[in-house]
Amino acid sequence: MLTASFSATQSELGADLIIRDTTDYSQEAKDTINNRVLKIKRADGTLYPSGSSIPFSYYDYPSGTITIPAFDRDYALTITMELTSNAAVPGSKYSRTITKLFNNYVMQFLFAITQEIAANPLILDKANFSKNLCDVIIFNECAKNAIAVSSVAASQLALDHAYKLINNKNLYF
Amino acid sequence: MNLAQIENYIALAKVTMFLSANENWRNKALNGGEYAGDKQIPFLLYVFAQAATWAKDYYAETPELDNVANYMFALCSRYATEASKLNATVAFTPVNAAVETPEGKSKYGKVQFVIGRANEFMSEGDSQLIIADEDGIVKDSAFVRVDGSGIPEDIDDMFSYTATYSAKQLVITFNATAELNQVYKVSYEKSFS
Repeated sequence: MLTASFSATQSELGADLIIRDTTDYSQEAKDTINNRVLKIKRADGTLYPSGSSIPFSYYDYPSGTITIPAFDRDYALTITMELTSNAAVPGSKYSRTITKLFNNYVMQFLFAITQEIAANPLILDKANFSKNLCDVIIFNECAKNAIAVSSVAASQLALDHAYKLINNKNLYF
Repeated sequence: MNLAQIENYIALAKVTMFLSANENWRNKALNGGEYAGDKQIPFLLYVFAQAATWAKDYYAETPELDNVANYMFALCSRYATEASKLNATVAFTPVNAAVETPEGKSKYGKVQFVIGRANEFMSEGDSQLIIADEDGIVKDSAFVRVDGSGIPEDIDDMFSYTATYSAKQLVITFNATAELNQVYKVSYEKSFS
């Protein structure tokens, strides 16, 4: 019996989604599985990109790793990998879905802001600097907590609030 | 700065976060709601520990992470001794990222041993520890811990030590003798003279 599995990570700078197929194909003849696709769903229910699934064929991606330029900001996503078998074995699981938070843009921001504080601690005295930094931390924690109970919508909402602060850094920090 | 050092600083920050937050409340209670210290330290430590924990996977051994880690360490300094009692694994060796280290060599030296187990440094009943280092030892850089607690220098009515530095040797004399199963740990900075 085969159980589909995969890992999903965000690249260091945040822009790419890296998906690696970690399915153990030794449990079933690989030539009976003839296709593999990904579905990336955002919190509003739309599929990325442009409402369609992403081809992840064995021929085009023999290593089982695909890099998708998916992020212009942080997202909470529902990702599904579907395998198509022409000789399905009862008990095998050919589809796997995960919900995951990708918050490297927030973490990049926190790392950058700590560098700024270390270089010039006086910026902590700027009006509302600490309060707004605290807000970013709280929204990030909210996003993590929400995804822990599989609430993609709540997680995305928290990320959206953090994004507003980060994207208007000159105004808030 | 190597990864282990960063992780030590993060561990120290987490303990210090608790200590400084606790002190805020204690001072408020004792001083009628007024607290003259820096109320931001627990929050800043939280932010720095979060950032460093994330960045160590991507920016290990970069000046940017060194700066963040050193500042985080500086925020901990007031609580360092107390933190060491709660978490004996945390390190106290301050790091100056600007100092060049000869390739392949550590900037810091460390000696650790247990009284009563085979070691070349001290036996039960001894009160003097001699450390020789071919790279040279920076004057006044030693930090001495016994059973995880930092030991003060030259205080007559407490367990303390005096240290004599020469170019490649450090002699530490304690005002009490070593007891069985005590753990001694001495950290120092190398001079590479």
